[in-house]
Amino acid sequence: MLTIRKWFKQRFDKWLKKNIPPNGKITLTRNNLFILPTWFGAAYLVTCFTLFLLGTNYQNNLILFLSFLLSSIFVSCLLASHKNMSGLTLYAANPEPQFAEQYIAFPLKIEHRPEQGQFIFAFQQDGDGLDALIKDQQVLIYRQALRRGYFNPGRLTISSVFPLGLFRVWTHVDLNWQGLVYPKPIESAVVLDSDGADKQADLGRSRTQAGFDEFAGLKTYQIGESLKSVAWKQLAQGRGWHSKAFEQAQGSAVWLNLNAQTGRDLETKLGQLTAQVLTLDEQNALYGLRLGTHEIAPAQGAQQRLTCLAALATYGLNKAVM
Amino acid sequence: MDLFFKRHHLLLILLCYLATTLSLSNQIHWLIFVLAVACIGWRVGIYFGRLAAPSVMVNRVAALLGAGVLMSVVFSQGLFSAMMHLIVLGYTLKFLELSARRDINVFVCTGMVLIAVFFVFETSVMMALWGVLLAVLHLGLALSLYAEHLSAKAQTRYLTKLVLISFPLALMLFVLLPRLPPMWKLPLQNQATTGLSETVNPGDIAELSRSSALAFRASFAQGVPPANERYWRVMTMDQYVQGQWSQSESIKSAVRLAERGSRFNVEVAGTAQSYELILEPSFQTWLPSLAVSNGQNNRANLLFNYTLRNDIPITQRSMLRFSYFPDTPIRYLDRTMRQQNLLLPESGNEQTRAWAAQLKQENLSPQQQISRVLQRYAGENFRYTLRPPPLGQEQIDGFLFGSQAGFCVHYASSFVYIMRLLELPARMVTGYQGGEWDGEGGFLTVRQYDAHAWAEVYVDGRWQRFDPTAFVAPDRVESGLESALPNEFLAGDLSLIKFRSNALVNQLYLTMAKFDYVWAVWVLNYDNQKQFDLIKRWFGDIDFFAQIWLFIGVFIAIITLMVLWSLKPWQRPTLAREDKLFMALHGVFSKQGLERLPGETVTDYCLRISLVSPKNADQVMNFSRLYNRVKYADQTSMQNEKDYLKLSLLLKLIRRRTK
Repeated sequence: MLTIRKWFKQRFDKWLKKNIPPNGKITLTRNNLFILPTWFGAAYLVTCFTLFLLGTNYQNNLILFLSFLLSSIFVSCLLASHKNMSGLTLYAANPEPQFAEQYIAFPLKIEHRPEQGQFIFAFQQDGDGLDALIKDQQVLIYRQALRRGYFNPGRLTISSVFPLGLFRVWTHVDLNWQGLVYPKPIESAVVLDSDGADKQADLGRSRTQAGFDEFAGLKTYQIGESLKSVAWKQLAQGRGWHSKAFEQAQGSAVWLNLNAQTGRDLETKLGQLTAQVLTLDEQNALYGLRLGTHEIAPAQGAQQRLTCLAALATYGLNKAVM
Repeated sequence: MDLFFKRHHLLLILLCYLATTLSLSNQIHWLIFVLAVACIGWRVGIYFGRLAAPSVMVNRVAALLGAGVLMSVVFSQGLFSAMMHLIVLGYTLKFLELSARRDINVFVCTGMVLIAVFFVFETSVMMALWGVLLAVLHLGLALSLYAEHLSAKAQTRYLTKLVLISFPLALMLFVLLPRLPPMWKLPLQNQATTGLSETVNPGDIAELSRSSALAFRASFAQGVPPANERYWRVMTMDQYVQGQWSQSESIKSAVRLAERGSRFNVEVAGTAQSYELILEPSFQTWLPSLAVSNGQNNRANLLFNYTLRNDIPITQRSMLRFSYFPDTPIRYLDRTMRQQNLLLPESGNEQTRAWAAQLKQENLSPQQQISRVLQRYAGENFRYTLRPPPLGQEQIDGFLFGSQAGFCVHYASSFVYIMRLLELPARMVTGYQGGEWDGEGGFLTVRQYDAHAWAEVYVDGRWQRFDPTAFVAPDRVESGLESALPNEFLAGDLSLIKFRSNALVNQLYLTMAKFDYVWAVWVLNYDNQKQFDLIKRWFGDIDFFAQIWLFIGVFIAIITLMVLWSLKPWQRPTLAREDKLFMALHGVFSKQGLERLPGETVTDYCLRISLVSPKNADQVMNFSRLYNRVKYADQTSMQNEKDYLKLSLLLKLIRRRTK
């Protein structure tokens, strides 16, 4: 039983892939829309047929006309519900990266004509999805990413039962989304690179005692910097946005290294590194990252954090792999 | 769970419910309304958070209890009423479990069935429109569930459009789809019978004469018979017991047989004329007919007394077709029937008996005897009135030798009595006489006040009609009750008919009557015969298969029109003029491989162009600035016009430079 369903699903997926190929911009037409009566539609038809029988058996033309009128409205609804969705154009925008096991918001822009009905958005393979957030023409659909790397949420089902709920029109579209998923941070103390022991000596600091929080002065705040570094006192005094710069001594860049991590396996190690990158970034440290042969030069700030997290997310993965 | 359920949903449901049940209020037991008040109260309480939603158990108990109580109350009214009450009960109890969209869907479907039930009782034009309106209201409820983003006004407009666009298809199905015969017998609604009853007391027909209600309408294929020949026979009364005429057992059993489909065969003579009757519901099986008529369909069956019975009671305005043979005599009389039609009480009405015995001794032929009796009615001071003085125990004596004032039943009754005393088989016939002919509309209108009674006597081997009333009040037979009794006519009735002396009222009345007749013939009784006539008129003589092709063709044509309307393939999205300029700009640069990316704004796109091809940077950035101003800035139309011109000049410049 299960295998038959699986087989059908595979065939259907194959069919979908051929007929509704992945694309960042999809216009809904009769080639990629499905339509079937709903439960209510079936009940409505049964009612029409009942009225037909009543009208015939009582030889009552008014009842027959009511039956014909309701049946005709059924046909009109078929056309109206198709019209409601056809011509709709969907644009996928790139989602913000997110950590594993968090919900990624996939943004979707739809071109809406005024009289179009409500749509329901849900990912096909999503059991516990959050409700899609619909705001004007922008829709956010949420899906939980389980593993790091590039994440494709699978086909999106967009459906509508407008206008009378007699028909459900739907489509399964693949909008070619690639959400970047960072490893899930695993809390651990910052472990600095032991390979660079020579540099450590120059610094004259112990490995476990990274002294990168010496207050150096104020500089103009730039968007993207950690809110923790904002000089709130000065802001409150009305002197504008400044951030506290924690300057380290010359050459005080620290290195994080995958090989130095204590985790049992690669994923744990990456998770630990992620947590450490976040910690270092919070403290506005100057840090670099060594992942095997790949090396990210020391730097600080939001850009450095994003570069490092992206490197951690994709380490050891083929980009094509989801 | 209740998230979807808003105030306007509750209001719409209430509106649907009240409009539908109140339309049926004449047929629904008052207990339903008591239950409805309780259920609606509970639902409103839930809505305002004062009451908890009833559990499934409560719902079931309410349904079972309600069904039980209702059945015990209405079961005596017949199966139809019982079934209707069950549907109404479900419709009412839905108020207790409106927890999901599905419940409202069920409510909508139930409502549609109730509207059909409403059409069983009401068939006038206004009521038909009202019923369709009720159906649309129910659809509006369904729409409100799935179109919450639309305002009430937009929803109304959408629904109106949806219904109007469906109308042609519905009309086409109505006109062209062949009607099927009834597939099985359904219970019929039980209502008080109207019109003539199975027994005749002198007061009965006088009572009917006060009603201006429609009895039936008739149209004739070969011209209308003259007024004094319009005797619509309904029943024959051959039994006189205690001053009351009724049908004997033999007629009653023949009626029962005819209702089951057996018919009395008559050898017809002469040419046939055909006519159609549109009968108003009488909730009885009798059919009025001209002597001698045969039903053209299988439903009207002839009895041995040459009257017709329908197989089921006439519960709605029905059309029946008859063939009429004016030259065929009514002949049938067997021995038991002869005895029955001579039967009189042993004694009583001695004055009349004495007078008849005297007449009998004169040794006249039957025809002569009859004319002597009729002359007596014409010669003496007999008076025709709807309000005769009360007669004593000896009704015939009291009438013939006392008051000499009476109504058609008095005359027919005394005449038949005398005929039987003269040993001539005789019976009373009840039915309708006359009717109002509308030459323009081509139909005869017969109302309850045209109810009449006359006599038939078996002489010269056939039953002959004698109407003693005609000798007393010839106007009654020639031009109807109104001219025979202008002062008594419709006393106490306030219908339009009374004021027809006013030309305007008369015109209005005639127009309404005509419209009502057309409605009854072409809508309520539109059947395969009418369909055939219509198709023949429009498309000429075509056979059955051509008719099927015609049906399919029209069907496809209408569906195609609907699809075209819905998809509007001729409609191209219209671009604003500044967008056309932008598309042109896009055309210029896409040739160089600079396609606009999905989701990229005009500004972003121009920025990208200026980065890739710096020599156009200034113009392109200028273009985007102007474009945004034309499209979005809130400026005067003159300024807008100026900017648009600049924009188009800029495009020309860019084109020239990139060549």
